[in-house]
Amino acid sequence: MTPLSTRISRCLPAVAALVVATLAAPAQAQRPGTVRGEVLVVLAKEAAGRMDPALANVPALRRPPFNAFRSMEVLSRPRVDLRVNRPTTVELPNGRRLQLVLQQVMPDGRYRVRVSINRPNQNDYLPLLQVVASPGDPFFVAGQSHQGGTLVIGIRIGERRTDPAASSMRARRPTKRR
Amino acid sequence: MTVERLEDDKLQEFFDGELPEGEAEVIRREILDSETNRSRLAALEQLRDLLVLAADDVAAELSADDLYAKIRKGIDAERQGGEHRTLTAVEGGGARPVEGWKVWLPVAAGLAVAAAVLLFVLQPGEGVGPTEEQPELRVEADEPGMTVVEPPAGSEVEEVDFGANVGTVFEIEGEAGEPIAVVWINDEEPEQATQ
Repeated sequence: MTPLSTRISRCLPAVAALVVATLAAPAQAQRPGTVRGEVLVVLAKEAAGRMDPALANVPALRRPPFNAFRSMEVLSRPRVDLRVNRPTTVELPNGRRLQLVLQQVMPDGRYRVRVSINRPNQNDYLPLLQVVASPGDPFFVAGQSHQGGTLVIGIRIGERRTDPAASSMRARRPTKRR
Repeated sequence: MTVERLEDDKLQEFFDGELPEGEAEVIRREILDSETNRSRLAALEQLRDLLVLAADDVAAELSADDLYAKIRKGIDAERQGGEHRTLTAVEGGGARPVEGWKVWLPVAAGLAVAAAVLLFVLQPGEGVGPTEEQPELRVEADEPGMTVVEPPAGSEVEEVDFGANVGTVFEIEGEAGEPIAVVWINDEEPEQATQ
């Protein structure tokens, strides 16, 4: 029969892994009171070239007007934690700054956000854009010139429901709330 | 001779002149022989006078304060002159309850219950339909006892300020047909060197 001490020592790695996983989980989870977002910065060019495989799950970029570009490269993909009325800034590769402000989590679960893109202490590009977006559904700001191409910036707030049944239901049969 | 207390209906019919001549005469004698019945008839007359007074005041478009003062005066006169307190003013809840509480208390309780029920029924999302400010929600049930609330899919531009630039707002279709907002702004300024 295996001695007790041996059995305990064999279990230790598993116990340690469990402890580490337990401690790490809260650090990875979204902090209370914050909404996680993602800013996708893409350099798009009309010249033929490579389509970044990281964009395979962004079908919107294959539709007009973006289908005019024949090459796309992901320059950065920073994640942001948004709090209501707390501006969050993302540095863009052309020296401008994108500022995001989560204005409101609406009663229907959508997010109302304000976006501006300008050089520091200037108001030179996009003074104000206010968008309402469903969790996980993107919106795009495009048109800035950069390195012979055009910057396409996709912004996604929150996480889309991953339940495929729910997704199919949404497409299948909208019903009124009673 | 002891005269019995007249029935309320009979007294009211006599007061209104609705009794036949013979019966009216009998009732008149009974009233004359009874202090109680006389007081009750006097109270009816006072009440009628108050109503006439109020009607006249309304017709003359008197202020509510004047009207209340006159009614109050009539009540006081009745209180001083008669042994029966058919009308009593309640001073800001400080006066003792009067016979009227038997009517007003159930009415007030009923109103409170109705208000509570109304508030409960009109809880947001529990019976109020979608409004312009609150877009329609989509609710589905995956399983019994489980409800999934789906916000309207996609994104939309509510407000945009292009500043000195020229821009366009597009709406492209997402995978499930949802609208995806695209804002395209021409970059007129020469690009600065990237750090």
